[in-house]
Amino acid sequence: MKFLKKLLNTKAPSSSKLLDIALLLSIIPHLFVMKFFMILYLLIALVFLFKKSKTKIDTTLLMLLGLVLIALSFFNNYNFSDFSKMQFFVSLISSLLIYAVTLQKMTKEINIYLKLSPAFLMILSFFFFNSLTMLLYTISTLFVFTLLNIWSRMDVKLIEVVKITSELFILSLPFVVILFLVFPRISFEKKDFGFRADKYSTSGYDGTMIVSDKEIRLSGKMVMELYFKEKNIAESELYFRGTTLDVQDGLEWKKGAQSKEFHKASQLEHIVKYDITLYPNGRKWIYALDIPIEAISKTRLNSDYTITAKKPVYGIKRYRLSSALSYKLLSNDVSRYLKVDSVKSEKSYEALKSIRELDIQKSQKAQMLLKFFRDQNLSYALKPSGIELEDFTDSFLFEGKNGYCVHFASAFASSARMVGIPSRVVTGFKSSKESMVNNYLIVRALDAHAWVELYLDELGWMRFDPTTTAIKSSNNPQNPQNQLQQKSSFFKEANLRFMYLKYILSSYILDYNRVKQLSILKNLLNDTLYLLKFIFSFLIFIFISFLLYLGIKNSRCRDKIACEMQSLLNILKKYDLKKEDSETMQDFLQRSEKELNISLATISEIYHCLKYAKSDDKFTIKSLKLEIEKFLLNLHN
Amino acid sequence: MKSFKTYISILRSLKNRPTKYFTFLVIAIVSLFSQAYIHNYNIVYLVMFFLVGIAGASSVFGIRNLHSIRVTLLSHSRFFATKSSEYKLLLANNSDHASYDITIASEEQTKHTKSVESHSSQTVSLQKSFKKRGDATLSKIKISSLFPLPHELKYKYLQIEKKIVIYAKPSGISLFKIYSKDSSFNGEIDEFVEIKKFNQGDNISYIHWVSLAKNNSLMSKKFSFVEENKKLIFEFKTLKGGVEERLSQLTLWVLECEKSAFDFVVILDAMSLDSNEMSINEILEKIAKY
Repeated sequence: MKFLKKLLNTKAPSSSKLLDIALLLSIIPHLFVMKFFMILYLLIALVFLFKKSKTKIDTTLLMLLGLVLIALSFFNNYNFSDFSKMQFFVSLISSLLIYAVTLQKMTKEINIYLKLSPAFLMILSFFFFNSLTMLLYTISTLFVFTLLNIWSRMDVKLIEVVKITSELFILSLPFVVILFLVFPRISFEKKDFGFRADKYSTSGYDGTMIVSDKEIRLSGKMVMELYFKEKNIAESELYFRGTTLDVQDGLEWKKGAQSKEFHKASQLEHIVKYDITLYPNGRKWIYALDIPIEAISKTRLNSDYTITAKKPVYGIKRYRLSSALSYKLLSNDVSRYLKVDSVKSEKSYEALKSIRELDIQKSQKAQMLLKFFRDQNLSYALKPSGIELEDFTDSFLFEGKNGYCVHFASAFASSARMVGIPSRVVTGFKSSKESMVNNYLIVRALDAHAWVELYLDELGWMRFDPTTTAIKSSNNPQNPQNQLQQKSSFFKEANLRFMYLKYILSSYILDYNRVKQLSILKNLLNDTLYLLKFIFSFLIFIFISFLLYLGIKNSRCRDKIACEMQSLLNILKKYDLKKEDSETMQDFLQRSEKELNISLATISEIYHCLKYAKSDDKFTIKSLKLEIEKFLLNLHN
Repeated sequence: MKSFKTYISILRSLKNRPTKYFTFLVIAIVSLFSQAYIHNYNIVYLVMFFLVGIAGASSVFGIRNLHSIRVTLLSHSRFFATKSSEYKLLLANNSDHASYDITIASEEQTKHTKSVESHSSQTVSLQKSFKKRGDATLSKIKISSLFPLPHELKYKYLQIEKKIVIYAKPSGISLFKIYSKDSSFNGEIDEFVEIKKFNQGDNISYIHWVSLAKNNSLMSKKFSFVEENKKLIFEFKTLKGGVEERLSQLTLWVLECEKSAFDFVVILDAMSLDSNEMSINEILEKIAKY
């Protein structure tokens, strides 16, 4: 607090120091994308700049060193194709700019180019980052740049400049909002130059499924955020399809050779529209709600109704998708979904004999299979125990009787094939309503899930989640989400709310585009209530901005005595009593006293004592205020 | 409505002109627009809109900063043709807020002050020179500011409208040079009572040569009684040279007499300007307006 107070009372530093602050601030985002040798150069340059006596040899040495280190920084990019990559180009330009800035700083001469370099560096950093953090950084930096610029021409304390800059920003806000809403945008998608600083990692899902006896550790890493157009999405519908695996190869489930035959989806009902913000994962899958009905730009709808992007996702991607929650998915040839190694699952094969031999419909068999799983009293465990991988299905169903979704899905799919039902494993994500606020849903790596699809003749492919057959256990919760809930429901709720807010901001600011612009325009033209809400919200916003502006403006009262007296002068002005430039306060008060026939002598005495005899403890600002109030009472009476 | 009218009148009273930073601002906006438009970066759009918004708000602040500044002429020294003279201005700020980065400029000089506090004033001195003698006016000064942002210079002209007289340029032969050579300026001399340090203007015949010979110090004799002429008389028509030269000479002598507190009379054609009857300024004015 003391430090802050001291900081706010700082007087304007020299232009050189102000420029240094601006430069340091503008270099920060570049540090995240800068190559090692460039960072090394920057460190060396700092040492040279901090050196008290700088010689010409120092400058020459730094110049040569800089050239070598920049050359080394871009050593891997010495082919012409890289020049076509915007990121390489921008990195090179920003490195050269930083190089030029350090050399210019060595000369101690501040020229116009050096003054403008923080702005150039900031503009260049926009090519690398496009996130809410960057938005916050940019606005803060813009504020500081404006502040430093103003401060360089004012001989006042920092607090005064902060207030003036805040006033400027608040005044400009309505214009910014109007321009942001109505400024014409282009319709084509944004270019992506990658986001090297944001290192991607797998989200607990990699498209294959290997049954293992190892413990699985949950990761809270964000996979995607969704915003549904409607609210009524049942928890049982929150299955996000990643890939289908139809070939069982020992313990591994793989994707078979892609069938040229496209599954026939029909009776598509309960269509849900939603926006997905997919975080970088280095994979091609786009996790659509089961089942997506159409592909979007730069993606492909596969024959098994999964969606893949044409290129791996290395940056944050935003998609608008539509899915049918109710559907019929038919295949002509399902024979390949029946292959099962019953030799290694003798016990299971035998136990399922009764179901297999029944002459009933496949849907009935599926229900019996589910009941069979329930009867085994299987429990959910992130650290499976007592499972033999050699004969996994038998061991899981009859010995270990515990495991996680992978174990359940693998055993259920194998069992289904053993009873003659074509099956396949579907991997993806299963979320819950606990991760949902209004229409917003967060999907994390710990939501990675595997379930099974059974082909039930005329009903087509039907989803079955064998993990739901697990008995509930406090030690081994059925739903991994519960683990987070156990840790701290308050923290989780707060985090969820924060993520929701972040998503909303991101969606309305970073992802605002021509489509949204046209949608708002359409609503404004067609929906009177929407128009009224819009106008009302905007007026409220202007009003709040104005209040904020007034709040900051009126708080700027450095000379409290003058401020108190000003209120008196303002009132006297209403009685045609205006203090002339050449008139002293005493003369003016005496003149006013004569005109109004009310004594102002005490006010005059207090004012002059406070103003000119500052060590005098006889009067305080409060006494001046009280006297003014008394005078006003007399005046009104 | 009243405040709106007041604002319009304030707006009209101030002028503005873009500076070199305005060019940079335009370049920055165009670059940001290209970047935002090509790549559809909303952050860049926001920065661009903020720049436009801040630049606009800065204009309003600039107007507020400058409109309450008033200037009053406090005093001025004598103005002589072709010579630079000083005049003092009272820079007053009667508003509730301080004004910053104020530049006051006459045609010849510029002064800068970082701030003028609310309800306070500052004294500023400016130099001014006039080419010709005679009547003139201290007409206007320019008040400008780059506050809060330097892309636009806000300025206004404040009228002083002070009528002044530009006196003739004082030049020619110094009165003291003639005085020291011509003994007719002095009265009869009695025996000296002591010696004093020789000062400029002392008659060289007063030099105490003995002291110079003995001590190598230039001393002057001090007499108990020196009868000086009552009044110096400067006659315009007896002076050599053109009209301007003669007027300049007279001005120089008048000033020298004022400095040494000599009584004098300037005879300017039919006019007789007596230092006992007129003030020095009046005499200088008559000479200036000749």
